[in-house]
Amino acid sequence: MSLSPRLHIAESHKAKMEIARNRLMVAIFIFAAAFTLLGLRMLDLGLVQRVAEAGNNHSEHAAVMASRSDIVDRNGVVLATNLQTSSLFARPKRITEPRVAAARITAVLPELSEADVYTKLTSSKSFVWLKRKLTPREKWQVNALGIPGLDFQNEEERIYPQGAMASHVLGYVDIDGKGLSGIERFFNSRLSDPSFADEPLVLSMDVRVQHALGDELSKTMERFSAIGGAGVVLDIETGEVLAMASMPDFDPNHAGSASRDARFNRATAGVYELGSIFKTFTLAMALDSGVVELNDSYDARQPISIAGFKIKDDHPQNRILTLPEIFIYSSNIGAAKIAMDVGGEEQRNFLQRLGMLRPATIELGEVAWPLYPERWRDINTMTISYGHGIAISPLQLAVGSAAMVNGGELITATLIKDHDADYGDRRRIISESTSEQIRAMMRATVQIGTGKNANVPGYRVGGKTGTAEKSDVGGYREDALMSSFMGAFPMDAPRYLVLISVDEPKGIAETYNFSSAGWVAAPTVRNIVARIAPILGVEPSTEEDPHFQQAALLIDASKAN
Amino acid sequence: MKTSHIIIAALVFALALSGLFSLKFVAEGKERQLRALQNQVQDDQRAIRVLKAEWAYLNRPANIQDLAVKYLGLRPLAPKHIYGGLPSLPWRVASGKIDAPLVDFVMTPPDEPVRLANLGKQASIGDTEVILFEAPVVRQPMDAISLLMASDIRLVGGRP
Repeated sequence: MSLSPRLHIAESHKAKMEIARNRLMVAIFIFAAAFTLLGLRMLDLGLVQRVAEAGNNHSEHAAVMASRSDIVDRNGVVLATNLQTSSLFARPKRITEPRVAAARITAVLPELSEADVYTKLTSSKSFVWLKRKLTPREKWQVNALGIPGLDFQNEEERIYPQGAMASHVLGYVDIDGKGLSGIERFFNSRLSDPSFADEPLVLSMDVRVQHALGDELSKTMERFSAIGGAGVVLDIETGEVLAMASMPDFDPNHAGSASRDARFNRATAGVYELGSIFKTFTLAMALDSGVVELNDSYDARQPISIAGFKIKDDHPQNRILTLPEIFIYSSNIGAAKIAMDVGGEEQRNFLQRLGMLRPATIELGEVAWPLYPERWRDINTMTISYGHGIAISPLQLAVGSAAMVNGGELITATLIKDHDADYGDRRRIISESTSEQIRAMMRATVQIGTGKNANVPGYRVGGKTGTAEKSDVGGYREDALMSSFMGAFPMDAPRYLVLISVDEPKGIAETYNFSSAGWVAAPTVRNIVARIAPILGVEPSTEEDPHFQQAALLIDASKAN
Repeated sequence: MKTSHIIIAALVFALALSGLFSLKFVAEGKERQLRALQNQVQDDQRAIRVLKAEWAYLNRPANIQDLAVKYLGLRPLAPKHIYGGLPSLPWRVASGKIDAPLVDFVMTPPDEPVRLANLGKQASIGDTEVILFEAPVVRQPMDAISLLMASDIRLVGGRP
């Protein structure tokens, strides 16, 4: 019996130990599980999520991205870019002495009115803009004032480093960076797309060519006191626009202060009767349809009277003219007769195919519809044959002329340089051989015809003058001309086309008071070609393509008036 | 036994703790450094944008033209200034004896009799003797380099 209580004690002790051990085991298990969880979580954080976070860090690294991508020219010269600027705002409730503050702010920002600033600073709003987009210097000066309650907000500003150059092509943006005209507007969604932010939009333009075009055009305008001008330089193989100018121009950095007239793009949004350059189309159409041949001739002695209207020549030769003579002396009578032989229906179809009866295709919103008669009567056929009674944009004329010169294929004008494009979208308008004949006549026009002033020794320029009287209510004004010249070079393998239109030039003593195309536009094109040909890598040569002789033989220069 | 266990555990604990914290501080320091670098990269990128715009602004063709007119007296390139292949190059004569540019020339070995009317004028281009002739136009494109290398060849120039 003496054993039993001890045994009992031992037994109960053992049971208690068992319970304690079990409890301990439970605790150990819980802790072990918790630590395992922690360990797993650490592994998760350390190995898996860390990689993701590192990725985040990386994207944070490349964070400086403008909200609008740059625009550059074909050689990468910056035409438009975004820079960070600061805008000044005030928290009126924190301004302690609004009158003093207003006086001191207007002292460093003189373009603000003191009364205006005072009203803003005393307003009940919690936030007012004082001035948007300060220059770094202005920002420093405002900071130096040390007025509490003023603060800056970082903003981006669109900068056009080239100033007024190519302003009509680039367009401009509003204060929030939304494109309002030109490329800025046409490609607004592309330019503001974040996925393209660090990928500049590459234009087909070349700033060097653009400068030569704009410089010569504005010089001509100044010289002849013209009211406007437009110019296009086109690559006739690819359709790339190398330069496009419209005068007067404006600075897109301050587009708001430019007049409507300055912002108007005369090269695409203006339609004009561009005159005799249309004879290129008339002769190409007639030669290509087989109605006439190069050595056919027309009597240009008598003016044509039709529907109370008299068609006469500006450079009258008063004799029977061969086709090349009609072209190089720009005979309206000859062109009208040729067009009548071809027929109005055919002429309309030809111009339709050439894209003269619909707006030009270009990456701009400012493109105007051409103006042409709804009913194509004989009088229309005649006047349109020499470029009156139809109004088109200078760009349209350049693209149409390119098809006459480049072997007969219509190209699509573009402002975008595209490495991948094969420029395959071409439509044949005239045959290769007709194009060759047109080229020969264009070269002869510059050698001995109305376009002599466009000749640049070595660069084989060929072209056509176009002098149009501007129409007004109730007829044409003889004193107001539109002088244009379309030139292509080098004529033995034409690659570039230059078109210049000068609006209302006034004759000067040096040009014997003439303001026609041969005196105004042709020398401008000569200067432009002389400047851009070396840039474009055109090799000068004194050798002439023998096929010009074919046309030259049909020209009796000794009888020229 | 028990005490030593506790001491070892405490040591390990202290070691782990200090290790962990020092690691944490190092990581924080690196992060600060990273942020500073990122800020600097951003500032630099911003500065690059500004400089690029300024570069484009200062290189405006109109600006270059004004400066060139003011300081350089350069004029636009004329077609005659452009090199059109070796045959189109006239010979340059340094002595000043020949003022009219020689546009055409023939090359003869020294022994071969020259059948052109001798003008009697002589000039020299470096070591090479040149005799001027009233020559009919003979255009013979040649490699100027090898011509200049061959010292025993006499140049016979013609006048345009």
